[in-house]
Order: sequence, then structure tokens, then C-alpha cells
Amino acid sequence: MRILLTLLISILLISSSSALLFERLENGNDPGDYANSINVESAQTFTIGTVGSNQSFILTSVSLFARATTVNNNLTLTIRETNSTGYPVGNNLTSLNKLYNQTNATWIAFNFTSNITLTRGTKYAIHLTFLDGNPANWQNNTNGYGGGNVFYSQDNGTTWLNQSNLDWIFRVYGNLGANISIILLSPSNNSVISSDIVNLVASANPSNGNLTNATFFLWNSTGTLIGLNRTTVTGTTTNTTNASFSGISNNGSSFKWNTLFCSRNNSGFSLCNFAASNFTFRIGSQEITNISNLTTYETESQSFFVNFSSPLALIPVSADLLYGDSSYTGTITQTSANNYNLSALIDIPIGAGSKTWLFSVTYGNGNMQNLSSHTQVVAPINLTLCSSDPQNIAYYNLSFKNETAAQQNVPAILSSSWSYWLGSGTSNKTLTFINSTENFAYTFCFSPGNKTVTTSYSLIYDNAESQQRTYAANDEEITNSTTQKILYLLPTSEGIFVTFQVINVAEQAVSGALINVTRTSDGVNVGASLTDAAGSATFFLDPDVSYTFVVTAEGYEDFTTTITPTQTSYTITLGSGASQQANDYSQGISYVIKPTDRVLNNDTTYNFNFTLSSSFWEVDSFGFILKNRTTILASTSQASNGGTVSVNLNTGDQQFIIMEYFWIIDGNYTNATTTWSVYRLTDDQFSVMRFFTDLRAYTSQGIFGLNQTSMTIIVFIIIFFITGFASFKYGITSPAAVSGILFALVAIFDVGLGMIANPVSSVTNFPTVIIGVIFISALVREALN
Amino acid sequence: MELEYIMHKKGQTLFMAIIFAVAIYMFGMLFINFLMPEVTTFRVDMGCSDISISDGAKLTCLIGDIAIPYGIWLIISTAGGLILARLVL
Repeated sequence: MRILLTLLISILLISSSSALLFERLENGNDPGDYANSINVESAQTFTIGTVGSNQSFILTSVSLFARATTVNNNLTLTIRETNSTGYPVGNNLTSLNKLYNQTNATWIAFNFTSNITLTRGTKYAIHLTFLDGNPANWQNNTNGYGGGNVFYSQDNGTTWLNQSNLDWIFRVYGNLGANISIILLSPSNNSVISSDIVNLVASANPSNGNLTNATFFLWNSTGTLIGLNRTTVTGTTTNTTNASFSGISNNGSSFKWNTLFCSRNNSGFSLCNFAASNFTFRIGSQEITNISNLTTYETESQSFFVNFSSPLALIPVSADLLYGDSSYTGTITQTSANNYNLSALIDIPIGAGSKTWLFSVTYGNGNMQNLSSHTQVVAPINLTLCSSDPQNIAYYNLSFKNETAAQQNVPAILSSSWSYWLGSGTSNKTLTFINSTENFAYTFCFSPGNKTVTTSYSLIYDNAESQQRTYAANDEEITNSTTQKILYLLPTSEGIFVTFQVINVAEQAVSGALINVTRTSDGVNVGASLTDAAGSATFFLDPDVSYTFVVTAEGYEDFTTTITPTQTSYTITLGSGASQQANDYSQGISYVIKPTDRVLNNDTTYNFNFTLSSSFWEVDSFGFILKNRTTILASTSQASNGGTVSVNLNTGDQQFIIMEYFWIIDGNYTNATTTWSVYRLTDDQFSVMRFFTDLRAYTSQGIFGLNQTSMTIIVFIIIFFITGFASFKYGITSPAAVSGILFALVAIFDVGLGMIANPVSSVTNFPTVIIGVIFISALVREALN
Repeated sequence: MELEYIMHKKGQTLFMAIIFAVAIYMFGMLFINFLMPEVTTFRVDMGCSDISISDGAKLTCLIGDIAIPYGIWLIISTAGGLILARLVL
């Protein structure tokens, strides 16, 4: 479809913008008779409208039918205006030089690119000169053209002679040169539309003629035409028109559009033009407002807010704030069907300068779009030892005193490490300051001087007379109201090292616990330290002074004690914290399971119940599952803090009933099992019959090579020996008696126990039958005897 | 005189034998009751119902099957033997 349309348009354009033959004299009757010399100028005048269409046109080419007289004739052709009497003495409009050496007469074309316009009904002249004096033979015609004729001058154009009865063979080509200036207005190139309806707007200004219509074209990113809208427009000057397209499916890719305007001039010629290039746009979200600070500081907490509209087909599901090189998760809030708020609260990362931020939205179809980008200037923060501006606003002043009665000011060396931030602490800067020269005070300044800084730091300080002490603090806020910190040093001769080990009730070392030591009498802080991996911290203390120790650790209750440190080591046991996490979920749990008999009867319905009570935990739910070794038979549960759950179950042919009972506390699942045996009371499970039943079953498959045949042989041997023993022992010689014993044994092993293979399958228990017949025969025979 | 003495003594031993026999029978049967679930467990665990088990397992199952009857026979023969021995001797 697009190809056909393009072809049609091309045809229209070609028909209106390709060269047309206007004035011409194409047939000569006097070949090659007119020659020019270097001193002779000649011209052929022509009047637009004499032969061709009487309309203005842009000259494109002039062709003359001639031949060269020598090799490399050098001809200059000029289009010149004529005077009121038709003489070729007017202004030169355009000129072209051509070197040709065609000795056979042919059309010689002079193609002009100067785009001069020749006005309708006006006479012009084709003026010729030869640069090298070599004339050309020009085919001519006597009075063949009515709009002009040949002129020549032999005095370099001062005077001209009119050869009124002579015309050259010539052709004048041009095009109408009509043009339509088209401007694509909306949507602008590379723009984003947040509406499901696309409204294309363009304007056109025809240079020649009246506008007739405009056709809007809309293509997808692959060049497939997806929309076409033709409207009627009129006007000879700028005219703006538009067309709407709706229901465009969008997968986040771009679209292209252009407009074809057509006009028609007074001569009926049509001209259609597209705008010089297509415009591209995308359907997506458009940011409406954004709120953020234009400037901020490193580590400062900043919020970013954007309100945007989105086409109904695009549903944002997540958004990330892209700040510099970092990405942070944002929050989406829908305010209306196609309007959303995005927000994010972050600590500005380290690094001063201009930072670009934007929200990147992910839609439900998986596509992503970056909304408008913005800039925020990040100023640095700095905590250092005070110096010149801007590091001249004191935030923290550190000085030292002796921990003696006089509390003299003393100098000390200092080794410190700081972590400081303005926001929540997720982004922070660090400072390491070490001074090995004793000073009475150290003053730290912060810039900018109007901010509250949160800092965690550790200080190690001592001097020549004292032992080293440490002081640490976490999350301490300091401002330009200078924090005065006085640290105390104890002379070496007056103190001892005391080690404190912090453990929990399970006697496990607690590392990272903060031990803060102050003098009980005056609250003077003499040190603070975090326990190491072994849970230990060491302080240099005066054994004659009472100190208060406050131990804090996450997950434990604060511990406070007062000690006069006469020992070199102490153990501090931290009790369970406010948020104790016990892991014994059986604590305080009691339960009763029924039935209490461990052996159940088969084919009997029992009520299986589980009664649970908790004296310590809050049970979320409890219950049980009844199953055999492979299949769940029944289950029940109850979401309450204790109680009874029960299920009636018939034992059927089960051999075991297993109950898996459980309770759930704070998502922790605890379970155990109990088992009942089920045995059958009505069958021969524990009789000798079971033995022979299994023996029969096993020999049918074979057991240690013993099959039914071999079992029959064994039975035969047993019968033989029993019969023989009885006969021998008790003197039984009567055939009837012997056959009776035989019949009884065969009947037991065959009918009773099924241990004798039946050779005649058509007769049930054939061995018994045949021995029975023999026994009856012997009886009858003996009775007759 | 001596014969009566002998007869009285024999009657007393028989009475005691009967009491012992009854006691053995009672306790024996009580013990057999405890064996029954174990035999059931044994049969289930050995898979005696499945004839595709190994020959050794089959033999073990047969021995387990005869255990209860053998125990009952043992108890009855012990108790009966006690009584019969006093009657005969």
C-alpha cells in the first residue's frame, strides 16, 4: 500500500517538477548553413507562449541542433533579455560555456542550474559566442518560428542585424518551479506524547497555485504505514491543518509522521510535496511537574518528586531514581487513571558537583522510559581541623585535663577517626586525624557552617605522663554551637589497667558494646570504648576512685554499675534485651493426645484428638496430621492459642496410624509424632496357619531354591516317615489303618495346609481324593474279608 | 500310715504344681500379648506380605510367624508338663 502510494506521489511530483519543453523550433530546412566567426555574435529570440505553454517557468536547459566545424569548438550560450523592439540587447540572465567536438549535427544541450525564471509572454534571446573563433554550423529554418528570429552582430554587440526570415533549430526546456513550503508543527521532532490520541498538525505555503488537500502519514518504527488521513485544504498562502489518530497500539517504540500537501496552479498543473524530512515521536509518559532542591550537600537527605501523565495503555509498575551513577528505588502513587506521582528519599552520595537525576519508569509490558532529566548541584561537606575560611566554624573542641584533684589542663597527642553525615547515615564521609605532637586542644570545624552534623568517632589520646585512654561516641550531633569535650588523662603512676569483658547470659562475648566510664563523684567522663571481638575493653583507671560504668549494646538492656577498680579485670553480664529472641518454642507448651492406647483394633473408628495449652508463648495455630507410612489419612488444625482439635478415623486395614502434631509460634513450626499400631483380631495373624500361609506363598516364588515341587517332596518324606514310625512303633500293619493314617496326613498337608502340589488341576485336592479312594477301598476290602 | 503320708504329700505337690502351671500360663499369655504388636511391627518392617523380598527375609518372616505359636506351645507344654509330671510321678 505504501509502495503504491509512494509511486503515485512520485509520478505526481515528476509530472509537475521534471523539465517541460516550452518554446522550440525542431525541424530545419537548411542544414548547417550558418557559421559564426569570433567577431560575430548571434542570437535567436523566442517568445514564451508562441509554441509552448504560455506560463512562467524555471529555465532548465536549452538545446541547439548544430555540429562542430573543428575539434573542440568552445561555445558560450547566454540567455538574454530583449529590448522593447525585440533586439537581443537586454541583461544577461544566465550563461553557460560548453566544449563540444561533435562533427555530426546533433542536439547540443546546455543544462542550466541557475534556476532563473522566464516570465510568461516575454521575449528572450539565446545568445551565442565562440571563444576560440571556431564557428559551428547551425541548422536553421526560414521563418519556421513565429515568436522570434535570428540576430547577429559583427561589432561585438554594438549593433545588431535582424535576420527576420531566419530561425535556428532550438528547444527551450523548463519546469514550472512551483514549490510548497511545508512545516511540520506538532508533535515536534523526537517528542513524547502522553496521550492515546495523536493529533498531527502541519502548515503549508504554496509558492504557485492554490492548496487543494493535505494527507497525513503515520508510520511505525519499522516503516509500516499505520495511519493515513486526507483532508481538504485551500489557500494560496500559509494554511495550517491537522489530523487525529487514535487507538495506536504502543509498545514503547517510536513513530514517524509527515504531511503531503498538494496545490494546483492556474494552468492546471498540480504539485505535491512532503516536508523535507519526517518527524519522529514516541508515545509515553510525560513529566508534568517536578519538585526537588536545585542545590544540596553531600550526605544530606533529599526528596525528589515528579508528577507525570501516562497513556492509559502504559501502566507504570516500578520506578527508580537515577541520581548520578547511582540508582534508588522510587515509590509510585496513582492519582488518577493516567496520572502518577513518583517520589524518592535518598542521602546524597559523596561527590560534589552538578548531578543529573531523573526517574526511570518501568511499565507493565516490560518497557522502560526515562522521564525528563534534571540537574542538582551538590556542594561538599568537610570536617577538618580548623583553618581558614570556610573551615573556620568550630563544631567540636577537644581539650584535656588531668584526672587529679587539681584537674590541670594538660596537652596530649591525639589519634582520631570520624564518620560524619547530614542525613540518615547511609551516605557518610570520613576523617582520620592523627597528631603526634602534644597539644592542649584540638578544634574541628565543619563546612557548611549552618548544618547539624551527626558523627560517630573514636579518640585515642595520651601524653608522656599518662597512659593512653580511648573515647568513642556513636551518632552524636554537633552544630556550630561548639561542643566542648574535655577528656581526662590519668598519670601513669596513679592508675592501673582494668579490663572489662562483656558477656551475655549464655556466657558468649558481646562485641561492639559501648562502655562509657565516668567518675561517680563528679560525672567526669574518663573514657569510652567499644568492646572488641572477645568482648573486652581496657581502661586506665585510678584504683582509688569510684567509677560508673554504663554498658550499652544492641539487643541487650543497658547495664550500669559503679566500681572502684581495685582488680585488673571484671566481667559484665548483659541481661536479656528488650527484644529477646528465645528459640525454645516448646517452653510452656503442654498437650494431651488421644487415644491413649498404643494398640488399636482394625476396622474400628477412633476419635483422634490433640489438646494443647501454652503458658509462655502465644500460639498462632496448632493441629495434627494422621497418616500411614505413605498416605495422609486425615488432618485438622485450629488458629487459636490452644484448645482441642479432633478427627474421627476408622482404622480399616491400616497397620499403623501415625499422628504428626504441630504448633506454630511467630511463624516457627514445631512438630512431633506419635504412632499407634493396628492389629487384626479376627484372623490368623498369630497362628501356625500364618506360618504355613507365608511358606506356601514364598515357595510359590521360590525360597533358597525351594519351590512347590520340592516342598511336595519334603511333605511326602514327612508323611512317609510319620506313617512308617507310627506303623513300626505301634505295630500297625493293617492296610486300612495304614492307609487311614496316610489319608489323614495327606489331608492335613493338602487340604489343611496346601503344601502338596496338585498334579491334576481339574480335580481340587487330587492327592487327598486319590488317597481317600485308596483308604475307602482298603476299608471295604477289610470289611469284606 | 506311711501310705497316707505319701498320698498327702503327693496331693500337695500336685496342688502346688497346678498353681505354678496356672501362674506360668497367665504370665506367659500376658507376655505373649506384648509380643503380638511387636510381631506385627516385625512383619510390617520386614515386608513379609511382599513375596518379592529376599530369601533371607522370607526365612526371617517364617521364623517370626512361628514365634507366637511356638511361645504358646512352650507355655502350654511347660504348664502342662508341670501338672503331668506330678500326676505321673
